[in-house]
Amino acid sequence: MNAPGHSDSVMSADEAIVTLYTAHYRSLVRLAALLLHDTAAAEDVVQDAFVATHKSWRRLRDPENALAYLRQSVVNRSRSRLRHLKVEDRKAPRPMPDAPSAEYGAIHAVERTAVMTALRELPRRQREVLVLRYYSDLSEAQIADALQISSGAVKSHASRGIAALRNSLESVR
Amino acid sequence: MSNDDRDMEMENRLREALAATADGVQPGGDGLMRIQQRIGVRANRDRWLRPVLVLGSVVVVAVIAVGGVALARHGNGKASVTPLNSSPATSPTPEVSGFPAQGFFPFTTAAEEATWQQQFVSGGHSPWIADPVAVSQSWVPYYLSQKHVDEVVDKNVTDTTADVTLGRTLAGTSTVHAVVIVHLVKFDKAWIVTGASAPSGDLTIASPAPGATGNSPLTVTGPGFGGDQRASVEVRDAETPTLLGQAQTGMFGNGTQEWSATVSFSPSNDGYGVIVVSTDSPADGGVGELTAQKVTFTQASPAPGAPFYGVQGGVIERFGADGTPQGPVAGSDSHGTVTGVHQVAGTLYYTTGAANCATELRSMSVDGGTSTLVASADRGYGIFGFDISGDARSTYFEGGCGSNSGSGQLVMHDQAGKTRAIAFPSLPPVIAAGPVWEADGVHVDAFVRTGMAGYLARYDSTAGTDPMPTDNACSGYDVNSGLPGAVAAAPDGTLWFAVQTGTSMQVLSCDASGQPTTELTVNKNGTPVSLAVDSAGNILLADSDGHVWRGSAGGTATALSTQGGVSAVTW
Repeated sequence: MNAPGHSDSVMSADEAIVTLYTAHYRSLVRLAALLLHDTAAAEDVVQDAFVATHKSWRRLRDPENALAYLRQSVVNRSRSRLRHLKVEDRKAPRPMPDAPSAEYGAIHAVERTAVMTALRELPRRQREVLVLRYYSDLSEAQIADALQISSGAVKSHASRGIAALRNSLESVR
Repeated sequence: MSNDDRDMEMENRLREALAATADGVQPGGDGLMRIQQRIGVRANRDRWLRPVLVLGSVVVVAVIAVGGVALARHGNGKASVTPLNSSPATSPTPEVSGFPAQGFFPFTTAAEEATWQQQFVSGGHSPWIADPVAVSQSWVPYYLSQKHVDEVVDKNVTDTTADVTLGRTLAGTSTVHAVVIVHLVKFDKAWIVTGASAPSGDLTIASPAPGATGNSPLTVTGPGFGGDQRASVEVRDAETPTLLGQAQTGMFGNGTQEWSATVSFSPSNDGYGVIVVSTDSPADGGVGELTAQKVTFTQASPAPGAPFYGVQGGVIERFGADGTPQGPVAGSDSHGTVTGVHQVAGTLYYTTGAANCATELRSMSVDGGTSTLVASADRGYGIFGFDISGDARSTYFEGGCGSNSGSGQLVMHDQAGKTRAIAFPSLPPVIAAGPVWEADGVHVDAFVRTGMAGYLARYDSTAGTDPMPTDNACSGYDVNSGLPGAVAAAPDGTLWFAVQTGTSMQVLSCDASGQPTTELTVNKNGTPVSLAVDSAGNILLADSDGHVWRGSAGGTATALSTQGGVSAVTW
């Protein structure tokens, strides 16, 4: 015999995970990959976040809350993973796939390489803010929530990050 | 330009670079399985621990019996067993020597299983695939979306086959009702679902036969039974939780010779699906019983121009007319990773070098062997997009790699050996698709991106230095309808291009007056990356997810089962 409500809450969490997975798994893996530059590690991080979300479902309940929790968890776990890699001084992470074809490659390799290289040189906070703003299309408030910093700090990091990127790319032309 | 303008331009460049980089990230297909397995371990542990913690003295009795059973839990936590008035359906004949012909979950091919097994042995990835009960509990609740059907009512496991009966608790009762018997065959270390049958044996599919080929609309039939009722017929993707189409039968019963439903759907790309037929339970309206079997989606019949070639896994692969890989072209990877390919009269031209920076354009016979260097990129540059005309003129776009990022040039070699280059001193503008030769041997067409917009530029190989010439190769086309992601020249020199419209992908041709005609529509909101057209108008289109479609002008597009990401195609 199950404790009252136990079965229902487990099913709700299971259902929520499938729903969240279907809608957001790929974009979250891509978000983590942009932060980690390592697809396999990104998948691990996002799967960890889903398992944690399932565990916390009783508290979250609402899918919107769950998505914000997932996103925050992915960013935090990506940061931890990067820190761990640096501490362990392990071999370079497996790079993400390259542009899928030569035809496709021009904008996606020439332009991308320059921008992404410059992005990786930015301080961590600026990099996180720019990825959440320009890849995930989050508002300042959502970014502040995900990174647990103030909206003013988000605005400042975004502004400095864009300026730093621009200066970096202009200097190599 | 003000700082604000420059920041806005930078924001656009960053947005594009992030999107393009992210598009290249393709998560593995087993993410949900891996999450569910980890959740399942904890959930199962919780289910066992919680009664002990809460009630202390409750004894949980698990009853396993051969054949179909209904298992009722009473208030004291004990269980009783009620045999169903049934004769269990026969399991499909196992084929343990090769991949089971009727197998479809979690793998449809031996190659997929081998890939998993390598990870399984080395790192323990998805160990649940080695457990027939866990495979069943993943497949039915999550991949067939029968979320409540996850309780094991019965199991019969041998070294090579397994039948796992799953059920659900009827609403408002403690009775567990048997819903489906999942049939599995062990292939190497994995357990593969080969079908499922209803515990009563009444709900069966008469047509199509298990594993038979079929395409939309698909008519599914079976013998009538029972009282007045309907059945739901679904066509689902074999390896993902995707419902492709569904329909309801009419009312049927014992007096009905046959039930029937016709399902319209869009086939999945891997070529395999599963037909799922279910009835409702009169007890609570939930699923009563369920039967399922594999279906193979009809592929395009061989057509002129087949087979074709493509880039798969960094080598040139030869594909059959239906997209089945037939093996790599020997020697195509001897100078590095192949990134693009184009066939001209039995010769394969291809770019090769580093995966993100192909430094050479080489050629070799379609039969493989040694290759010949056609052109090298300038030092610090890579070749992104090229074309070879029927009379061996080459053109390509070079972009900076590494420290040269941010600049490029369009190179045009004519037949007499003269070379001209048009500089792209800063990107954008950038050639994002193409270039391709026109039939006149003078002009080269390419899609030039200028930020968020662009146009199909027409370059004169004998004059001009502007990376954005005023001449438009398809002046009648409005890029607001969709940005071209791939361009191709038909053997007669006509310009073709493929665009992403926001809801689909379209292939268009452009006549001499610059007027476009839509030739083929693919019902997927994908990003075209490679396009090929043969002399008969047969079309190949690859998207950034590595999927390939074929079709003909004015016809329908058929997804090919290329068994993996294909990044460039050529007839």
